[in-house]
Formats: sequence, C-alpha cells, structure tokens
Amino acid sequence: MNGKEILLRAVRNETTPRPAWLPFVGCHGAKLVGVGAREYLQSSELIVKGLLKARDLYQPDGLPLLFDLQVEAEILGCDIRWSDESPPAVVSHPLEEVGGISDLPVFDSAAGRFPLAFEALRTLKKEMGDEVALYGLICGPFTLALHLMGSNIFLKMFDHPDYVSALLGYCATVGKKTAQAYIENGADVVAVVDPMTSQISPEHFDSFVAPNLNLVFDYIGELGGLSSLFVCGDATRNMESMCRTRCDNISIDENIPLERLRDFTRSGNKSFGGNVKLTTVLLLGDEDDARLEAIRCIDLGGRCGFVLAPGCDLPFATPEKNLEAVAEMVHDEYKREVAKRTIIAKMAESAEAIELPDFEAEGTVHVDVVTLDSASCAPCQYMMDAVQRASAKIDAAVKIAEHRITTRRGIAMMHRLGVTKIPSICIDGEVAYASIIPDLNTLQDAIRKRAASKTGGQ
Amino acid sequence: MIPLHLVTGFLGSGKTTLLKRLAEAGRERRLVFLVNEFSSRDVDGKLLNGEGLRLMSIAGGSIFCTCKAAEFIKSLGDLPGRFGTSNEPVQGVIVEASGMADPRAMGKMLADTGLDNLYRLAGMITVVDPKSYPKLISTLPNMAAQVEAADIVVLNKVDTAADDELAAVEAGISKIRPGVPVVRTTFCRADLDLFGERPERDLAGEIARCADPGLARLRLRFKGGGITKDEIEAACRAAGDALLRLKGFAPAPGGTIHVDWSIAGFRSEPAEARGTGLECIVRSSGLDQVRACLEALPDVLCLD
Repeated sequence: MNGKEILLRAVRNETTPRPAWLPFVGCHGAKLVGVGAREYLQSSELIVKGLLKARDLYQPDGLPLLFDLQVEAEILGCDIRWSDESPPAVVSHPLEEVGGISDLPVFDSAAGRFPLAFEALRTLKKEMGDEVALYGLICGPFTLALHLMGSNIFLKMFDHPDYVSALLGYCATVGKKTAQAYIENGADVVAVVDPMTSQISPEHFDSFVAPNLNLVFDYIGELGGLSSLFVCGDATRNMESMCRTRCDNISIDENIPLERLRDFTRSGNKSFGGNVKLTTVLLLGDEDDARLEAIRCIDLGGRCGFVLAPGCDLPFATPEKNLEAVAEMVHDEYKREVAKRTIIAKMAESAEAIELPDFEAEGTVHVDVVTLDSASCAPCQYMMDAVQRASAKIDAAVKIAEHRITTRRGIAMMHRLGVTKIPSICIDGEVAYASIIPDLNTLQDAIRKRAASKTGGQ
Repeated sequence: MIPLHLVTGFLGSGKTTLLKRLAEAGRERRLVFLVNEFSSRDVDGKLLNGEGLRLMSIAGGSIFCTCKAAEFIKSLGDLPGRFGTSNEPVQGVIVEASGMADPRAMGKMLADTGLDNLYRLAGMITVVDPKSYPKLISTLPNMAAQVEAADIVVLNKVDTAADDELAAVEAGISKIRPGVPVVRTTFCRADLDLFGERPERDLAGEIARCADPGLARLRLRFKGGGITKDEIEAACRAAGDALLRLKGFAPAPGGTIHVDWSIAGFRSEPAEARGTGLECIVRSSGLDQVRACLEALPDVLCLD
C-alpha cells in the first residue's frame, strides 16, 4: 500500500498500516525553492518545484496544491496585499458598505490565479499523482463571505440575517464551482477551509454555515471526490455541529484537543486530522520537539481514520529538519519507540539544570501538578480542579503550576521533581499524591500544614 | 520586563482614536504600537504613522490566530532591539488586537513562546460602541471574551445613543464582568493612565499571583458584616500610592457588594456572591502602611 492509498483510506475512515501524513506546504514551498511567497503563489512552475521538493524531503502521503484562501475573493473584486513570507491578505471588501451579490463580478473558476493552480495540479498529477494524494483547497462559505463583506458581517447577521444567508448561499455556489474545477483537474480530496467559523456560535453555525457547507460537500461526493473541512482557531464550541455536516473528514489546529475531535468524529463515522503544533513546535522548536509532538498526535490518532497534519498552513520559515523529523516518526515505528526513550532520557539529564525555588526560605507554598494535560486528560483535570479549589480556601500564599509531560519542559520538570506516576501533586517539591486525587479536606490540610511549618508562615 | 497593554474593540468603535489619545498621554515614554486590524487598507497603520509614532503593523488576520502567530511573535521578539537601546529601552508596548480576537489567547501565546521573559501583560482596554455592542454580543462570542478580560471598558460614542441604551449596555457589561470600570466617552476623550505602575495580571480577570519581589499580596477576610463602601474607599485612599489594586466582595449593610480599587479609581456595586473577601496588590515598600490602613477597617482580618 503506497502513501496515497494510505491517505485515502484514512480519509475514508478506514484502518491504515501507519499514520497518514499530510504536511500543509503552502507558502513554505516558496522557502523550499528560495523565493518569496508573492512570486511562488503566482507561478505554476514554482509551485510544482516547491511541492516536488516537499515530496522528496517530507515523504508525504498527501500535499495541498495552493494554501491560499484569497483566490476566490480576488476574482470577486477584493483587493489583496502581498507579503513575502505569508499568503496575501484581503484588504478591501466589495460588499462592506453598499452593493449586493448581483454587483459582484461573475465568478469563473478559470479566472484569477486558478489557471496556474490547475496547471500545477495537472503537472504534479503526472509527476507524483500515483503515490501522493493531491488536495484542492477552496475558501469556505463563511470565510469568503467575510472577505466580501468585511467584519460588518457580524452586524448584518443581526440586522439582515436573510441577506447574510443569501450571501453564504452564493459563496457555496462559488465553492461548488471551484471544487468541480479541482476535481476535473485531478484533485483527490477537496478541503473546504473555513477558519472564520471559529468566530461564531453553534446556533449561527447551524443556521448560516452548515447548510451551505453541506451543499458543497454533497456536490463533491456526487463528483466522486472526498471532502474535508479545515478549521483553525478555537472552534471547540462548534465541533459537534461541524461533525454533523456531511464531509468525510475534519481537520483542526492545536486550539482543539485532538482526542476530543477523535471522539466526536468517531461517533459521527468521520475521519479526522491534525494537529501538530505549528508555531511553538514546528517553527520555533527543534527536531526533538517535533518528534515528541508527532508521537503525541500519532498515539492519540490511532490507526483508523486519522491523518497527521499540522494545524494550518505551515509558516514560511518552518525549518525543514523539523518536518523531516515528523516524517521519520510517521514512517518508522521503531524510530518512534527509540525517540520516545531517548528524548525522555535527554530531558531527564537536562532536568538537573532546572532551578527549583528555595522552598524553605519562601513564604509561598508551591503546589506543582504534573499532568498529561488537564485540558484533555480527565484525571489530570480533576486533580488540577482539586488543587485549585483547595488552594482557594487557604489563607496562605499558594502558587500552583501545571507541568504537562507533552512538552519537553514538562518532562524535565517531572524528572526534577522525582515524579514517576501521572498525574501527581508535589507540595514544596515533595511528591505528595501520586495517581491519587485527594479529597478536598485532606489536600487543604496538607497545604495548611506545610504553610504553617514554613519560616514566617502563619 | 516590558509592560504590554492590549486595546481591543470592534471595527468602528474608536480604537484608533483611543490609540492616538494613549500616544498623546504617553508622549514622554518610549512606547511602541503594534497594530493589526482585519480591516481595509491598514488604515490604522496609516493614521498612526501620521502621528510619527513607533509602529509595527500586522495586517490581514487576528494576531492571536495560530496562522498569524509566527509574524506576531517575530514582531514582539524584534521589537525591543528595533525600537530601544540598552540606554533607552522600550518602556511599553500597546497592541491593537483585532475586533474579533479572543484576548485570552494572548497570555498562553506569551508563555508558550518564552516571550513572557520579555513582556508582562499589564492591562487591557476594550472599546465598545453602544450601537453595535448589543448586536455583536449576539453574533460574535469573542465580544464577551473581550469584555470579560478588560481592566477598563471605554463606552465610546455615547452621544449616538440614548440614556436607556447606554444603561442597557453597561448592565450587559457588568453582567459579564462585575465591577469593571466603564468609562463613558465621546471621541475616546478619557483620562486613562495606562503607564502608571500596575500589578501583573492574567487575562481571565483574576489578580495574578505576585511574582515580582517589588510587589506583595494581601488578602482580607471579614469577621463580621456591615462595612460600607465609603469606609473601604476611604481606607484605599488613606493607603495611598502603595496600594495598587484591591478587589473582591464585602459584606455591606444592604448585602454583598463588589468593590474594585485601581489606578482608575474606586467602584462598587451590589453583587450576588456567596463569600466575601478582598485581594490586594501592594508595593512591598509600602506594605506596612497599607496593612495598617486596611486593618483599621472594622472586623477585618488581614492575611499575607
């Protein structure tokens, strides 16, 4: 089974022999070929060159053609401003003040920069189409409506909901045309990228956005393609609604816990993808950070219906070595096991460099909680809650810190504190409760006792 | 540590005007403005450039969006070297957040990227237009997040709304963030001293635990009831400059009240709180003086 087959199986929510890997090489492709984003996103030749290089370096199972949500908006009359290290930004909105849908230019998927995207797609289909699944990315209806109307859309949703619904319906027809063109030119999966839906409530998502997303997803299905919904930002409140739409796959960024999406999509019989941390790991971290993060996602994602992907368009300057490290984790289970042990061993060594407070001299009681992550692990959450509730009722200075072992810093702190079980509570550097969540009174007593024993304590 | 202030508000609420006012008020300081507006033609950058300010601009998205984070983080990292020197360091950064931003993401971003070694979150002002607020609170969930995180809400353009509309907006704000000072303005004309010393805070609206050795924390518990807001205000005033912030719930004769003392002044209002108690941030050098003033209140127990 080659990479493309693995990825398509994953999108179809089937079991795969290893995780499917989809690095979102958008403007980062420009860096790979030594040009700026402006030049890259306007040249089919450079896009082809960038993605071929990405294939060689990152061993992907899928690649997106063009990660640029402004192409449709540009055709419809929005002005854009180019940057050298990011996709262009929309800087004017034709429907901001006056005008209606009928005043917009006629949308044509053969206009604007689409021809160069499709040319690149056709070339790449020949070059790598048998081994790598190619994604066509289209601008989601709500994000496109926001491009056209500007942030006034949030006022119009209140004052003129019918008008906003009509505009979103129009944006869905644009999406259908674009999706069709991508499929006709060889795209295997069409991703509807609608990041701005993270800005609205579930009620508004259900009434304004979901029906129009479904028009696009249904159409992609009729054309024989697979569909994915990409969102970024904290769309947690809309996750249930998103899972009710009729796409095949949902992909998210680090703002949503991956396991939460996993559970939602599994109950909705969809596949899911995400959510390697873009900035703190892939851009600013090193290879070990990238390996650890990839392992975290792979372990959470499992082998059924999971696509490992960064949360959004890879930043231009992402170091190649970090993405190569992720690829290594995807393709080699043995290296994953080795990495788990060696990285943790390295963290243990570096733990000695962590300077702990002088617990005896300080008036404050330090309560350190070592967790997997209280945002996603239920016992960890209950333990953090217990610590916070207990500390709130104590008339002494208490400093609470959570150390997540999903980060290198957290692992180092775990070793420095001598913690061996997760979750654990340390009071002034001593392990007090390991894997046991104490009741409120017991915990309060322990903290009070410690506070009273300190120099100057009360 | 460079104090970092956030100014947020929806398009058209008067954010740019407020930034200009803050620039005028802070003329003596080496301030840098980091603006980012999901709006047309980077108008904010152009207007502020006209004022000859130190300015960095990020256009086209929310600065707290993961996709834009790289540019924002790079800007914050470069900023001290670009605009300051060892002799004349940057004294403050004012970040204009998009009207759609969730400001709660800011603290996490600073911590995750290590920028919390360079910057401390010093405060947040949310600008509100009384005409658009009732609509946005319904359609844009982050509007509530912006109010919830605010130290001060500037209710701007009050000349465009009737008294009952203003009162309704204020009541709505108070429901989300009880006790937050709401300053009514036109053209953002308000005496807001952002640059005085302020305690470190987190954006969930709670007083942060003191990490600065120059600051200390006091907690007050009430042994009885019947303390008036006037008595608390008088104690705050008597404590003088050493008392930077006091907030919490007190047992007044007519029921529990929420009180809030800061550089912006004293505010109190009835509240439905189950418990009472006050938390204070104090300059360490003036700790004894503040403690003496607060302990003079009836039935108060002062705890370090």
